[in-house]
Amino acid sequence: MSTDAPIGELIRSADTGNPAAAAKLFAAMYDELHRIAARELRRSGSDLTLGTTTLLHEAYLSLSSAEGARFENRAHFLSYAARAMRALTIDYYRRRSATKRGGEFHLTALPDDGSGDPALPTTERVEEIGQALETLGQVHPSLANLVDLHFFCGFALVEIAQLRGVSERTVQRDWRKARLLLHRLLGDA
Amino acid sequence: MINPELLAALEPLLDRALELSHDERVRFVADVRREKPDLARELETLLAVERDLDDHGFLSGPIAVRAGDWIEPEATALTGRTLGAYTLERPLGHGGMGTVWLARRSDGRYEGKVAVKLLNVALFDPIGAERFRREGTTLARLAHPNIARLIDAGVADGGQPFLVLEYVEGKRIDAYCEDEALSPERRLELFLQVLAAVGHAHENLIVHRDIKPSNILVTADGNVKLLDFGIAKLLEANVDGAEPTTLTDLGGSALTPEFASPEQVSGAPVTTATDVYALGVLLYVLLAGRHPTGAGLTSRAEHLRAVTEVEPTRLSLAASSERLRRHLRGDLENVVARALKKKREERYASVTAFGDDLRRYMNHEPVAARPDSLGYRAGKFLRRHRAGVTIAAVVIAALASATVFAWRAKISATRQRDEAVYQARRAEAIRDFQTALISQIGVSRVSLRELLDRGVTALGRQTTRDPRLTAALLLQFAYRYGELEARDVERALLARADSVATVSGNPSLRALIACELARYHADLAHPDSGIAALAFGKTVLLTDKNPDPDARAGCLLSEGLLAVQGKKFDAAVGLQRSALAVLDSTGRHSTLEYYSVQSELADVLRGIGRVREAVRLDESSREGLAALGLENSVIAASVNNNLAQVLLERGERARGITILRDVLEQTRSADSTREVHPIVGFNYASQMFSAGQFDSALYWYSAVRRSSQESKNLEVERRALIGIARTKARLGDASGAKTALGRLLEIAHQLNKPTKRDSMFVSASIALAEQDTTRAAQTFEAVIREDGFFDGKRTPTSRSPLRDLTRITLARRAPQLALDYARALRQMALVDSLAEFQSADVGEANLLAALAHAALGAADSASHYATAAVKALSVGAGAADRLTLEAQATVDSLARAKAKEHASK
Repeated sequence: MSTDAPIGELIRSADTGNPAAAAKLFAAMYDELHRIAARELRRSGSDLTLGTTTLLHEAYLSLSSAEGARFENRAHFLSYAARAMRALTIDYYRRRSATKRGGEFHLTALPDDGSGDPALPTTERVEEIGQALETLGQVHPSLANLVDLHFFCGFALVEIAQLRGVSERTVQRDWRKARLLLHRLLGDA
Repeated sequence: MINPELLAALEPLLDRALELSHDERVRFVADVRREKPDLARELETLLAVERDLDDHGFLSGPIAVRAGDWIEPEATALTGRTLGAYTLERPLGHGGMGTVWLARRSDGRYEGKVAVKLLNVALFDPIGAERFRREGTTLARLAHPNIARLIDAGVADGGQPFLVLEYVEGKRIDAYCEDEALSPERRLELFLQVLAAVGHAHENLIVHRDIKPSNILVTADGNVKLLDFGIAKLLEANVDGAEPTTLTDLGGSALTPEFASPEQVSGAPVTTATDVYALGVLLYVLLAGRHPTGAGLTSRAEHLRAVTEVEPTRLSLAASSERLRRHLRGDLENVVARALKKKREERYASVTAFGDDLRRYMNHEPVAARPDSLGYRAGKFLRRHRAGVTIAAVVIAALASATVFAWRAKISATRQRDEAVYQARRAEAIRDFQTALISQIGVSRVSLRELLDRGVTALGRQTTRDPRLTAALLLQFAYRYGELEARDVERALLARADSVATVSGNPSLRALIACELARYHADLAHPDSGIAALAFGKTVLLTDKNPDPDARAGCLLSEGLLAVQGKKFDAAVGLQRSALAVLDSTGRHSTLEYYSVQSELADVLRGIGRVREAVRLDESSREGLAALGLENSVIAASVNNNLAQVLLERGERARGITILRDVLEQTRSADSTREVHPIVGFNYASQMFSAGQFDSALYWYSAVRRSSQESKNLEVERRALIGIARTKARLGDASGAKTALGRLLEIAHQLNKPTKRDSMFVSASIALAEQDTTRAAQTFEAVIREDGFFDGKRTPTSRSPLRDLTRITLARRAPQLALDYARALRQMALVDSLAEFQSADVGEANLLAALAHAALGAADSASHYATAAVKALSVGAGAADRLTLEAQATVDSLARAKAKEHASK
């Protein structure tokens, strides 16, 4: 871990709203996700498709087994991890275009059974979405978190509803709102 | 760039606006504009976008990214973590179900390494965990050098399930064969190891169910190891990314189409023969490099169909090179072909037998598998194109056995002679007719309708001198057309028969035709015309001093049918019984016609609720038809279908399904290209759907639809489409479901049928598949509301949506409401059942009630209902049914919870 303080303390601190702790926790999450992805890539060599939910699951196990770490539950973990997942994905997009190599490694938020159509935006687009989410997150953190969970992490709306303890209807409405606001932020015609 | 304040202000407005209807929104925006015009402008733009949001596709699906191999490998963090008695060392790889780690036992008891598979599913659901544990115990019994042993299965605290497996390092068998460029002999040797493994499992009564190359590894020293034995079964209800709720139980199991066996597709039970088939496919693929039936196919539905309908290409013909072809020709391809037989009985009886034959081949000894001799192949060819011939045979059989005129009683000598002549001429005419039909068929595939058309034309060309004969043939054709609902042709033929009869001047003949016309009118619900025709017929009949029994019987039957229409059911029963008595008295007790009448009588009895009598009659008809060798006839199918329906209505699912399946299999075995009997196929498909076997349901619904398209029967096609739409939805193909729905609505319009319920029903399934539980719940509710459920009406068609609705309600954590639904289901099921503990319907309702009680915290009630559920489901649905298993798991889980509670007290 690249942090100086143990995870448990960081969590407690971030929970109380300490921005420095939150930033460190974010960094720790990011590192962990990246580490796991890299390990998987080394292990599998060619043609790996890694599900984001798997990645998050592994990270959850890994971090919660560290000394003193205590996430109350999945929702707690995800409230921090989802944002890290977003950052990781955006970085991968950036690096891809930098190296211009075809790439055998797929990171996907799609369900395991291979159903569903992927959204494959351009790097610029992904960066724009990231920036827009940052803006949205300053004003409506929970909407931004929703986008992270659904778009970047691949959780279904009904799962997110369960996670948050609200009705599915509410989440569906929030999702619509989030999309609209993001759309506006991106300045699309 | 939009500023944060604006953003903050917009959100609550948007929130409110999204709840409003279009008109209300306009007003709302106007209100806002009065206070803050800028905000209003923004809001308006957003709302305008909202309408087209889905078309935009903006942020519509989850993201995927491809990155390069620039990612640097790093050290791991889970290393050293303990899971149960094992310590994780390093990660090995990544499977579909989860990550695999290399590990060793913390206490050093078991020497050597193990592989620990961390499943990607958090089994917080105690019932799932229970089932998982129990299966693990079963599978751990397997110990064989070619099987990767399952050492342990457990659920760690926090709900993390894990499997401890023997550590295997190796390559997939197909990749191994390719990379090492193995000769066919070497590949066979490897394959024999696979057989040894599967054979061992079969001895232990475990069926693998999921044999495919990715489950078979070859180690560096050339040894085969089979993985994931029966684990598919273990994880059936738990394979899902998310936290499973009772919602996952609504999902059925999906097959791997390439390796699925024909019986898996048609929904028959899985046996060891299923593994034999999959092994056959594997061997084929290893030897020839391509798939036996599905090479080049893309869609799932195509694969499934190919499995059941396409004969595999001969192995040698599939070879990629001439050299290989020579290698594969001969006995080897016979052996492979035998393993790939569509019918279970024709395959190798066991994996051992399969292996023995292979070994004989390798030792150049004669094999047991017989080649498909030219005669047999020709027979197959004929079978394929003999659709017309078989149907002609049915028509002819009907003609032959439904002797229209059999003058037995009180006939004079001259008449006797005439009768003999008549019979002889009749037989001749039939033979000629048959020849004419067959020779006209050629090699094109002829549908029943076409065949009949040709037959009528042929009849027109062949003028028979005997009006009775002509009329008889015309009548038979009219019946067949009537069955196909080609009413205008039926009418025309009856009219022709009528003129023939009138010209002949024979009163019995005229009476018979008139009564048949009456029947025709009755079928089409024109009672007045029917009554008139009947009256005429009866009058004419009276003028005959020796009325022909067939005419008498025919008129009684027609009168009976009209009585049914007029709702005078008891009178109808009396009339039909009289008709049967007439047939009896002329000694025609065991004929097709007799059973046909008997089954009609059964229909009427069933309609007035005298079900037991009906069942007795149907059983008699069924035996009788079998004795005549006519179990493949349309009437036998109809009788069997009715028997099965009675059973299914009573909740005796296992028995009912077996009867339906037998009928379908017999139809298939008589002629693999013959159209499936639409009603039987449809009912069977519905049962498969209820059992969660969606692939099988899709296959049968599609077959029924094809059949209905050939016979141009729109009503059947409509019902089949409902099934197809719902099944596709549940298999995850929402767009396929919508396409089917579109076609369905078109047809419904053509038939002038109301479309509301159908489209709601399908939409509900689509919502379910899209995991939109709210919409699904609302739509299912709407469906049963349409049925009058909330007004207290209870109809059988409500049962299916009500079941789904109960499950959804449980998943949405509203157990009290779910309990209400479950109670209603239970009531309905009890009313229809013969005995509570024989009915799977009652059992299922009990299970749902148990789950609801458990969610409400009423553990004792839950136990009570769950136990009752197990009893009823074991009998009604069978011990292997997934509902029975679920009920058993519930009982166990509740018992464990109770034990825990007692222990801690």
